[in-house]
Amino acid sequence: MTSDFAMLYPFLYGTANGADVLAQARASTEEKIAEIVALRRSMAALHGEGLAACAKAMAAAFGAGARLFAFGNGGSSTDAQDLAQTFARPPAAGQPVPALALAQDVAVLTALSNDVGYDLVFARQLAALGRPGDIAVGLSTSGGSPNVLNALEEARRRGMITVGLVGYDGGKMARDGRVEHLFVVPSASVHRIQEAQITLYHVLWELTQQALTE
Amino acid sequence: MDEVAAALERRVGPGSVLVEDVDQVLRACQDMAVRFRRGGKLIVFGSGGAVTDAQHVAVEFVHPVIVGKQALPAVSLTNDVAIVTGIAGSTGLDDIFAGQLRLLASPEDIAMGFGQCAGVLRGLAVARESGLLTVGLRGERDVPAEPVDHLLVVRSDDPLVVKEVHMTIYHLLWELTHVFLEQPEPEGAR
Repeated sequence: MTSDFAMLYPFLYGTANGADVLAQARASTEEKIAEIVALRRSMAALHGEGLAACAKAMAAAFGAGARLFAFGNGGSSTDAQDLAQTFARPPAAGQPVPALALAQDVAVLTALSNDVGYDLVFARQLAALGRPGDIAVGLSTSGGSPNVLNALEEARRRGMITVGLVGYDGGKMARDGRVEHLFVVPSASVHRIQEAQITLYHVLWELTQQALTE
Repeated sequence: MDEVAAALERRVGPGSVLVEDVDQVLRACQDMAVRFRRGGKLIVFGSGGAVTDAQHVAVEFVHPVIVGKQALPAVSLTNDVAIVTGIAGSTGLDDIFAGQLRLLASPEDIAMGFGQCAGVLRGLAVARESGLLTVGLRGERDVPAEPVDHLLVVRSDDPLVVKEVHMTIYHLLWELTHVFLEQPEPEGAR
């Protein structure tokens, strides 16, 4: 990945003057904006049916008393928090449903990391909190985070609905049908993947709200 | 299916029009790079949904996704519920960020506030009085208020869409700040 910057900003590694730096930064920024607009748009063909099916399943689960658990690492942990927050405290006139972001409990997170290892943090939380019919949503850009994969595995074992948001080619998360509702954002940029994922789960929330009121 | 396509189409306008603000984003990053170069840190805050933006920004700067990029000092003021509710209980909810800034901020720092609730506005005002560089990210529905050095507005009145475009903006802020950090200090920068 180190060479990414050299590729994106060749001028940084040459002797270009300030004006060139600015012009090239402007051009590359404009490209990135166009890229995310196109990537978001492409999600309709790629995941339209999947989102509709997932929203229907989630609405039925919420109707039967399900809770949603969202989890991820780093920036994906804040996105998981946004996802949970959107469902639990919707903007405007939405219907609140129970949703928790697992990384927000620092006491549990550090206890589990210290005692059993970071790879098991979310899985152990689901083992304690999750019931059959609940919803587990794992976010990862690479699809390779062991704690996210272990938690999805645990959720599946416990009869929970599993939802996965992932980038690149889906990585390990996309293998063996381990996730029931899988949404792959085919990009190699962590930033663009996250920007498409936030739109995907916001749209998923919109569709789930519609399904809840039908 | 059609609903998904329609929902995604609603994102095209606000996402595309960001291109008109590229120069503003670049200027913010030049100033931010100067602050980091002088030993400043980034202090980020927001309420409600914007809490997650503040925390995402902090981790972005502290732990770069691109291997080899310099780790930069950044903190969000939304992590410690004991402090936040403590301040809210004693000096009021609107003081949760200003109260922390009075303790943590140095004049060379950067204050970044998301949204326009009273707590964020007071935080930005205290930051400005203390000499910090102030950056505000808002949505179209937010009314103009306290001046900040760099105001970046997403042209949508849907809070979810605003948040999505904010993410693109702060990813760009991170990336471009590094670009300028690696350059000689731009002329005329504060």
